[in-house]
Amino acid sequence: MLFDKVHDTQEAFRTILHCMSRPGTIQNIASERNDAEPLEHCDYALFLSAMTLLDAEVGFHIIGSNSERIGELFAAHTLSKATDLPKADYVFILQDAQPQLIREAFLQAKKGTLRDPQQSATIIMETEMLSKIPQLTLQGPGIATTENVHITANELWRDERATANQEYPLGVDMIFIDRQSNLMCLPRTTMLKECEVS
Amino acid sequence: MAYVAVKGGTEAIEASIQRLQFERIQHQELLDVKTIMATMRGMVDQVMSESSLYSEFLAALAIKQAEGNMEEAVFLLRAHRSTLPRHYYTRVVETETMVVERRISASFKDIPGGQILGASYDYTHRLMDFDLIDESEASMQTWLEQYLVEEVAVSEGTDLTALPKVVDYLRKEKLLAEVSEDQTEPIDVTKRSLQFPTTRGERLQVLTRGQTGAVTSLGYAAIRGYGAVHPTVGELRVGKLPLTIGHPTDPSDDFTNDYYIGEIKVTEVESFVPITVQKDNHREELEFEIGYGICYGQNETKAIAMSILDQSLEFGRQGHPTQDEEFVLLHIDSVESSGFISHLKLPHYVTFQSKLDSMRRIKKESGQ
Amino acid sequence: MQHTTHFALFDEGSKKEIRRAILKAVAIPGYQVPFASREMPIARGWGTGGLQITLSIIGKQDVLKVIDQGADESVNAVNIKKLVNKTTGVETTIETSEATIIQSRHRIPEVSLTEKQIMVLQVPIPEPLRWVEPSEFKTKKLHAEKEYSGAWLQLFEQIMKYGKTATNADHPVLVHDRYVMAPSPIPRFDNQKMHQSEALILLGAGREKKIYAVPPYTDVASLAFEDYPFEVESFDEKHCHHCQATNVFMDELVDQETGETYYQCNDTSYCLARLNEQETLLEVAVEHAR
Repeated sequence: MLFDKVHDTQEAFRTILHCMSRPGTIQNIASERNDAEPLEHCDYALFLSAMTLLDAEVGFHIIGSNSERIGELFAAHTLSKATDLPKADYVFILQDAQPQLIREAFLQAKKGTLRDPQQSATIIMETEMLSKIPQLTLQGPGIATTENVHITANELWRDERATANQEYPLGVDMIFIDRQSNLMCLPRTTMLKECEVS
Repeated sequence: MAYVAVKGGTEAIEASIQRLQFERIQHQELLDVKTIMATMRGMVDQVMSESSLYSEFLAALAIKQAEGNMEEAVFLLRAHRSTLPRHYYTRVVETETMVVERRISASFKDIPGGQILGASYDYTHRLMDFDLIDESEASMQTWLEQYLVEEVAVSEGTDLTALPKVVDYLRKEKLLAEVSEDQTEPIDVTKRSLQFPTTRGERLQVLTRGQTGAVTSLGYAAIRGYGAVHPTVGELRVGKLPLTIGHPTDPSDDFTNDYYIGEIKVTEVESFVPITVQKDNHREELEFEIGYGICYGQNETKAIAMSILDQSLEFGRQGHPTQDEEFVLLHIDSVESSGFISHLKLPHYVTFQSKLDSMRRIKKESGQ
Repeated sequence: MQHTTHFALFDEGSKKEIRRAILKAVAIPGYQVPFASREMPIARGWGTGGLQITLSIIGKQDVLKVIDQGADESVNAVNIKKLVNKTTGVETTIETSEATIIQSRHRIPEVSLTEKQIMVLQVPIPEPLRWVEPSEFKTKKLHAEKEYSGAWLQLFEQIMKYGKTATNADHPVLVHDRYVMAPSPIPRFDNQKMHQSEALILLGAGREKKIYAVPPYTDVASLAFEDYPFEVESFDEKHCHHCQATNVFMDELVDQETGETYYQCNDTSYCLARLNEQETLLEVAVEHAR
């Protein structure tokens, strides 16, 4: 695998920043990397997001069947340390995560304090597919009027996110990554509702 | 023909930089970095301390580049520090392991291990030494040879690597409050900005990288009248400390796998400050508190002033500015204070125009 | 001893920390996210907050524009542009519409920004409540509790004293109906450009170690009372003596010989573009006349 830790992470960061500023916008995080040799335990896009966000100054937590292996991979490349959920700055929820554990993740993840709302976790969630097919309508900062998206994943996260984010400015921010390396963000300010069936 | 932007700014900057270079070399004398390292120890130490970057070579280079301007040299080194990756933290260093070069106590005449005066300006007469004008290579060599012979004869027999701390003596006498060891991982203030109220570890870091003059002045204010500190220097030591780091990926954290990465010269001060404490039986007793100071290099005044400010911020409750952590910690940094003061040289046309507009409106309003 | 400068100067760890702070700033509009803030090769107070943001977000494909007080050619703007160019090799421009990143001190360009652009503002004092309360510990508490009566009281006192609000540049704004924010010392004239902006706006205070943001399409309201509405600097009946523009923020100048006051666009690249446009029109007209 060829990986340029300076420029690849810069590009990935800009994609995340663009999407975090414009919830509902879907962009590919690894478009130029489709030739990259597959990693043994995790998708390249997930790996790249970890490379972009993690270092020795932050802790992460992974939920999913292969969490230990992937954790070792992240730690070896970033010097970041795997920690307990309530301490983690970044929580990765893999696609095969058990519903109960997803619930735990949102429940225990850091929400920040009123003095320091930024001391909250960012949840990075692996999903099957992200698309613009209307399923959810998004509203909030970064969105001119409304945005429609479709997130193919266990829908459990929606209620859990709503609970975690009910006391703005406290809450968690989310990054979704699908199997085609598409990325979408939901900062805590974005309001979700089901698309109205017309 | 299209209009093009006037390139005035670019040209002006270029000319100014050329002029600066001219000022540095116009007298056709060059100063070697290694000469600065060898002969400007005080300056090198001060620059390293204020920059929080320990490299005598880089400090000397910064001094050369800055033509000896302290704030500029510190600025250069701090900016360079920002470009260096910092992946590891050293193990905790016990200063008992210091290879002592100088060690004095103002509180006890006879301290275990003895007072060691070492190299100090304290007892020099501050008289200009005009002989230095014509100091020659030969006289230097002769002096050195003779000194080294005598020095070896004197220093044999004293173990300078394991001198006990004066503070331990007081602790044994129960004159110091018992404290348990705090193993909390300190916060690195250069990786996470100060959040108030700060921890002692954060305060000590900001103080040790503070501008020497600023730390000294505020420390002075605290003992002169704007603070209630009456310290005694329990122990001041100057010497070298060995540094090690743990194996970065070894989860067992086994000390035997540590790497030795070098040594740093520091000045360490423990000041004793008497305070009155209420005891259980409603009696008042005197106890000592400790103010702690430590700086890169031999920076004795700064280290002592730091110990005063540490104590002042840790225990001060009388509302003096020297006891206000925001007042002290946010204003003693060389790069920050000199930067913001000097930014006043930048143009402020837009803000001034806005101010003019506001004033004219008010005038117009009141004129009607 | 050889030393080569790393891309965008910073080590990767510093960039990561700043990038993480930027993402949090975007997620909590108007909230000042503390960051460690590195010392830069330019002085604190000279745009190190903006510079740190620019260096942390910039990539090889970016095109950078830097302005200071509206001018691309101001010495400080040139100096920052030179540093970024030297350490990244990215292209620079004075053309607002060509830039992907615009770093600025005290102005937002006259030309509307687009979704493809990021506006980076340099901030000297990020705390809008600092003049009311010097202690950082206390101002953080005020923000936590959304307790902004101090900021309102300040405006109220001005009305009592002067009959109207007397704020200058840096007139405080309320972002996303939650945080009162210092828009940086942009003139009041530029405050409205932050409201529902198409471009992402990032603000960086290097010395005060804070990063904050106004995401695109976010409500930004300048603090004002209903009966004393917010007023921008007035350039009524004034025009730029170069390009004849009206309704832009202008510099006031004095003719050294006649002593007369005249005005010109503060945004120099805007003025230049208009002049060139007029030139082209003139040429076309001349061409037609022939």
